[in-house]
Amino acid sequence: MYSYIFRRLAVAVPTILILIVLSFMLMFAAPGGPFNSDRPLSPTVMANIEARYGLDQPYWKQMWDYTVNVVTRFDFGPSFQYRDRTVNDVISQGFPVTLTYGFWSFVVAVIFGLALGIMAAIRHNSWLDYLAVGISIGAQVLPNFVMAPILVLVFTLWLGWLPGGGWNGGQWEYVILPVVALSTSYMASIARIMRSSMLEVMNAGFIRTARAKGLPMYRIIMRHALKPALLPVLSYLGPAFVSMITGSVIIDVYFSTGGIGQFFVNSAFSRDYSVIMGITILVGVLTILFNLVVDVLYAWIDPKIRY
Amino acid sequence: MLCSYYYNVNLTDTGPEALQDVRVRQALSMAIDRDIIVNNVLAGGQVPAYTLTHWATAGFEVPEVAAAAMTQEERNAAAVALMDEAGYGTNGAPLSVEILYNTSEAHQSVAVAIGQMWKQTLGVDSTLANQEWQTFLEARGNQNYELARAGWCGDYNEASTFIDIVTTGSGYNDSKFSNADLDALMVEAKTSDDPLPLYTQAEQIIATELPILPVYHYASVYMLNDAIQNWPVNNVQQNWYSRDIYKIAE
Repeated sequence: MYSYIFRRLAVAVPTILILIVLSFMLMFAAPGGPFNSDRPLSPTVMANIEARYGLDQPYWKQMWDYTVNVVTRFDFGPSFQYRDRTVNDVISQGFPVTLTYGFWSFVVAVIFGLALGIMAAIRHNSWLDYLAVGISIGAQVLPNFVMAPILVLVFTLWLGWLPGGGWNGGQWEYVILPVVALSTSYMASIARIMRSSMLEVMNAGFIRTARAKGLPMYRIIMRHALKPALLPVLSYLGPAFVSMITGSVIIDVYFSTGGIGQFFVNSAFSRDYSVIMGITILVGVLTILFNLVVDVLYAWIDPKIRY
Repeated sequence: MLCSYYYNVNLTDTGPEALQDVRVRQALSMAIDRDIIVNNVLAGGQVPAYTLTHWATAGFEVPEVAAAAMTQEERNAAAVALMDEAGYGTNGAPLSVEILYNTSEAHQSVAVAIGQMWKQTLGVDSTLANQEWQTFLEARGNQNYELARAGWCGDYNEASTFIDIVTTGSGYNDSKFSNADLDALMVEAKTSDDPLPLYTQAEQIIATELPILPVYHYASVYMLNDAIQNWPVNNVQQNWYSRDIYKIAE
């Protein structure tokens, strides 16, 4: 197991390097630059700025310098758009916010999604099943840029119970609405995957034996059926977790949370090369890490899986 | 707001040959029904523009532009006459122009309206192209367009902030317009005791040569509580001082 983990981490390093190279190529392929504006700068000023930020050097040199900086000093460079901040500042400001509401969205989505899926599978073809499937399809179809304003309308304007936006250091009132808005579509997917895999497991022979032996339903589910049923859900959960903790630009914009999703999209529009690269690398590293975690969990859940 | 909205015309060799003819440009400009755009499409209190410089710029005397005084029917008739003379449009060679703008609902509505007006009045086909902002800046800055939407806001409350952008060699001259008389006027205006008549003359040249097709001058729209009085309304530079404003007690 440990050699497997070590091998996976060893492969991760060249993967990240390839990610850096490809991202650089795509980034420089897009027309425009970070210092273009409606009022173009004079050529001498532009030359000075490019020299200061190293943009006048050949692409391979920029890539090399950047990678060396990242690997040796974890220095992702200055932000081109926010002139007084480095990328490390931008990420360290935005990531904790996104991590907080992303993590809680994950918890909510998993708990409710699993519960809904299991209930629907146990009471298959009953009103509970149809209700659960209906809710999950509805939640999946309703995009979060529709959910967010509806939530604000109901809870802030009509009822006045919760603030309509802001972060305020992460107090729970400010976290609830983003969490609800973000978790609904993931919860729906988890419920549907769980339901179908649970149905499959419940029809297996060993469950029939357990029932014949007279075990109570909750014990059958928790002790015998849950682990095998979780496998397909786990493969969904890895990437889903990463996408939740790297945030959604829609949640960031609607609730003004200040998370990194917004920075990511704005930096693409303003061609802020270093922020784009920084957040891309962050998402890449997290994706690799959590895919590894998911694979390790596979082995824990299913003893037949050996690496 | 001290800003003007206009369409840059690509006057270099990469631009369409038809637009190099000043009569075509004048026809296109006259065929735009600015009242419809300002009242129906935008409906924000904007003012139709026949010059580049904003009408409210301090000391600026808007020149007498013939088109500004006509009714739209007269303008349309004059536009058709000019187009025929130039040899394009319904009675001549077919003309098709591409309007480039950065992605925005507002710019799209204006471009659609203008394209329709040109089609109906002059028989000129127009294709609309929109690009994301940075890509658009590259295209416009490298004269990679036929007509491009542009806006310019004054940096200071004097007409030269607008007229300077169409002088030869200006970094903001995306049309690459070059007129020796205009350049001479602006050089003289820099050291003159009374530059205002020179600016009016320069704007007269712009209104005749039309390196840009002016559309409207901006206005800012805001909601003001009835109880607040003495808000500076004709405030082009958007400076207001709280000592001048008062609130009526309930």
